[in-house]
Amino acid sequence: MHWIPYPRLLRHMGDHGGGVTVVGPVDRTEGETFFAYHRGQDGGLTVAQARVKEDPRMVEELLRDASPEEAGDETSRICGVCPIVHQETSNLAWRAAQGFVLDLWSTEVERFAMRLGTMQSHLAHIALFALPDWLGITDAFKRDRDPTVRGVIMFRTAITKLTSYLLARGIHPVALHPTGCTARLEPRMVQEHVDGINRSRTYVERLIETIAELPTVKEQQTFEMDTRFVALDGVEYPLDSGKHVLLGDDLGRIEVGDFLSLTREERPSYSNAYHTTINGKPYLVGALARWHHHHEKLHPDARAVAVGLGLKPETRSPLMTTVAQIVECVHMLANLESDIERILTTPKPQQKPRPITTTNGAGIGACEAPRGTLFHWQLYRHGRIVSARALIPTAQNMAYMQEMILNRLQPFALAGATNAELEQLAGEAIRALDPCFSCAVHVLDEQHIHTHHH
Amino acid sequence: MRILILTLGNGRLCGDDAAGPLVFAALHERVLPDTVVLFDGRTSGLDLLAPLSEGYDVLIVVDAYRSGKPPGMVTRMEVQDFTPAPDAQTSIHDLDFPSTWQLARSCGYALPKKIVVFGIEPRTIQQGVVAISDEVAAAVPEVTAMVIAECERVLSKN
Repeated sequence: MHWIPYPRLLRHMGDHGGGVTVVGPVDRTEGETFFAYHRGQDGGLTVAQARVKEDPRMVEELLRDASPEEAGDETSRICGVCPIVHQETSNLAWRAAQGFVLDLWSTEVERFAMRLGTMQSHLAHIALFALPDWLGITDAFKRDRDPTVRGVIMFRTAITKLTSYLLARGIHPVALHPTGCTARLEPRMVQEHVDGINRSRTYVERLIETIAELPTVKEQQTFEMDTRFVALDGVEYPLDSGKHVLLGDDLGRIEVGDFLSLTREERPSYSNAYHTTINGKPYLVGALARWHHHHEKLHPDARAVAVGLGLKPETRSPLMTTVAQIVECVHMLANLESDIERILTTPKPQQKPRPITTTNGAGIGACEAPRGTLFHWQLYRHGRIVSARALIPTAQNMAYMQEMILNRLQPFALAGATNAELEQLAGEAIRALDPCFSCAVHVLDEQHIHTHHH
Repeated sequence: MRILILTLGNGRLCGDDAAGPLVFAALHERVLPDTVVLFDGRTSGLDLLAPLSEGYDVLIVVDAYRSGKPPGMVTRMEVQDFTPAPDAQTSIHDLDFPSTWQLARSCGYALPKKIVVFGIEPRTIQQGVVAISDEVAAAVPEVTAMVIAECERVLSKN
């Protein structure tokens, strides 16, 4: 299938004579997503498509011929917001292929780094997208002046400083390697950063107090739709680990290594982003799916905040994803001091991470990225990657997201909402759920979709 | 007197936008004075608030810069402030630097009083392009030397 150039995306051939309106960009994220719709005589929507314009990232191409160490660096560049989890998942793929067992200290540092990275991503999503939408702020300057938004950003900055220190560089981590972590941690420096985070905790309390009273949040709780929740499964909360995937809808669970062959990725003719389904049905990954399956594993403080914000285990409103993200942040914050104590009291291995020797074979790594379950599959020959595939959370959510937009907008459309109002609602729904479209766009070797791990 | 050197740009997938990261790599090989911090800002927006909140006195920014000059030409600019374009998009992936700067100001961070920007004229900035033009590659040693000279000048005056 050929790539759809930008002008043709707006004038898809199916539109001719169909009376389809294309507006956008509606997501206000990177100006990539256009909303195409058609209204019938009763005002209801007969077509609702999310058309993603973004160019492909060429990740799979760049990984070809990379060493396992280079792969970590390359995958971390897939996303400037979630680089840690990409690098970690790539490392897990190599470890799975090689049967490599990581030392305890590195395991603790990696797990903590993942928690920090998740908080950074969640807080960016909350401050720049969800909170301004809830507060009705559309102007970036007014957004920056809102004390609650600003507080979330300042709290995030405190988290960024600890992450940067832990991983030697904040944006693209340099301390995470396939065979171990090279972080050098001075307890005094760690404590300094933790003190900075503790001083900023009041901003999180203010956020929770603010949104508990917002009518826009309460209204979003009332929107529900049939949802298949998919998340990693294991002993711990899935942000930390999981060797199985829970499929939802009473489908049970399967091993991580079997998941890719269960999914089907297809690119619709009107968009550059793939749509992923299981047994032909769209599904949802991310904070709400994790909450749905594993809420009982969260810290009591987090569960209490969920109750206060109206997030119930049975919630089927995808628009509550942001609230689930806030609950996850409270969980990670409640565990912060004990996480650090474990790192500082676990003996660090004396030797440096050993040089990598890679035997031929394939491995798959899976982690819960902030936006949902992330998979990296890599095939190694003579110490190099000869084939790779990434299954990104937003690519998994795309088909579900498009259904959600239609379900969310339909009652408003039938009640006579203007086109401008529909455009605003579509944007808010996308931003509430998963606005990382650029990560959903990649190039697959179509032949690899079902045969990659055989 | 503390100096923050911030290199910006996509180092891998956007052609000559790698100018900033290339200068970072060159500066990383050099021994810089203790009061000079080198930060590989890449394409990050919000993460740049961390160094911007640290109360540096001087900020040196290195980035690709389109001004219509021949590719590889270096422009040194003393800047008073950064103002985002009215149509700047909000994105957690690439909050542009002027928007980040204004956000840092809104947060009340003590921002550097002196700002110097070194802009390198690109030949090609296009997503998916891995190659870097000869002109920009040739300009990297020159910019690196200019940044070091700038630091020495600032530190010798103070």
